[in-house]
Amino acid sequence: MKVTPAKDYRKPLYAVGVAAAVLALATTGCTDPKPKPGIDYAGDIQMVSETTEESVMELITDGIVSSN
Amino acid sequence: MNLTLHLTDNCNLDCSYCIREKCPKDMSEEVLLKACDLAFAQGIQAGLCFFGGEPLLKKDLIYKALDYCEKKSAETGIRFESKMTTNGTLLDEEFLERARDAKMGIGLSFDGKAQDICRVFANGSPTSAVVEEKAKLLLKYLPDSVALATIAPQAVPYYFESIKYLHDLGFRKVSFVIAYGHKVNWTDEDLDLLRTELEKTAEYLKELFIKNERFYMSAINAKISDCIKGKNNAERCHLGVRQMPVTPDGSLYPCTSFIGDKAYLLGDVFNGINNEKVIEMAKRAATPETCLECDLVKRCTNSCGCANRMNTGDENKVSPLQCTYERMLIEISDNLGEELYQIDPVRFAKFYS
Repeated sequence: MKVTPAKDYRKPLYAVGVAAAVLALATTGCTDPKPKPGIDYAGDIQMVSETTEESVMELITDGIVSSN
Repeated sequence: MNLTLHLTDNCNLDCSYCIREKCPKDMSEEVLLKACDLAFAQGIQAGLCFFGGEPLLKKDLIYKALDYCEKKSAETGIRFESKMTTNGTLLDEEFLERARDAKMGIGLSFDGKAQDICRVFANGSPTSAVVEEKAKLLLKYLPDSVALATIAPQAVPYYFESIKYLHDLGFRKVSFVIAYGHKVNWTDEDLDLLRTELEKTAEYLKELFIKNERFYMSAINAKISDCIKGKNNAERCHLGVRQMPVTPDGSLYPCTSFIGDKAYLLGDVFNGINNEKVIEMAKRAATPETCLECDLVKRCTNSCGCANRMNTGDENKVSPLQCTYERMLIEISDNLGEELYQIDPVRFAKFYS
């Protein structure tokens, strides 16, 4: 076991393909613009809910830089 | 805002990987209601996750919080949402009826076929039979409940078997995370076996996909979905920004693993949040130096300060365990994603985007 930086990674084709399809739908207004609920199960780092519009607003208001 | 309420530090189980110290501290009603007020004080949504210890030891507090917050939501128009992470042993029909009325999300900590290896009652007796019955009851009332499994090294041989078992039991969503912290000791052999188990899991997910059956297995599904969306939900640790824990005495910390370390105290429910400290902490959070040149830096949990702290003692330092596991998980998830995309791209997009 060691920390080994990965090299020569390419974005998988499935991601490229689906992202393009989703973008096409979004530009025609066919996707649901509503954000999903935003509270997470405590003790779990993977079952993460979508960030809500309001939490993004809070971040901006607080001046906290976050990529979420 | 979203808060995790540690209603009590007590628990009726004695799980071998648990990093929380059991002590007889319970949250008072005064702290509880102040915490509810705080949740409603910022933003246009109030979220509470009931946690512990074991939160169902304090059912009375949960009922009080739900009544109080539902009333407050009706008065203010602020949306209220609740969740709970529980070991399930104290679930009963009365509670589940109230939880269903409140549209509460319940995460059942359940390690499947490995349950009795690490998750035992305080007297050392096994919990699997009790929790299996409670899981059936839970799913009867709240079929969208999630099984949350924590995989310690000794549970790895049961990884795939556990996923299948939980699915057969009726769970449509499961989350499998590996146990971190000083109470577990992972070896290279454990991780080799974990790879085999993850590959079996990917094969099972493929079979379900072919049968057009939806089943969300967070470790793999999240990697695929996040890759499609070009984001990483675990890219930044919450560190008090997305969800903040409240201890029984009302103290606020960035995450559960930081509780008790005064250097990370972010305020309390009586005096509010120390926003300067939250900002300072967010600024201090950085991508670990060892990950800067890694192509997968945007796809793994390297900058989850909580996991880093549990593994290395430093919120900005990733552990060899985490790096090895994440690389393995991303590789297996991507292989599965490519296969499913080839089988049926339209269904794949529907399932994963």
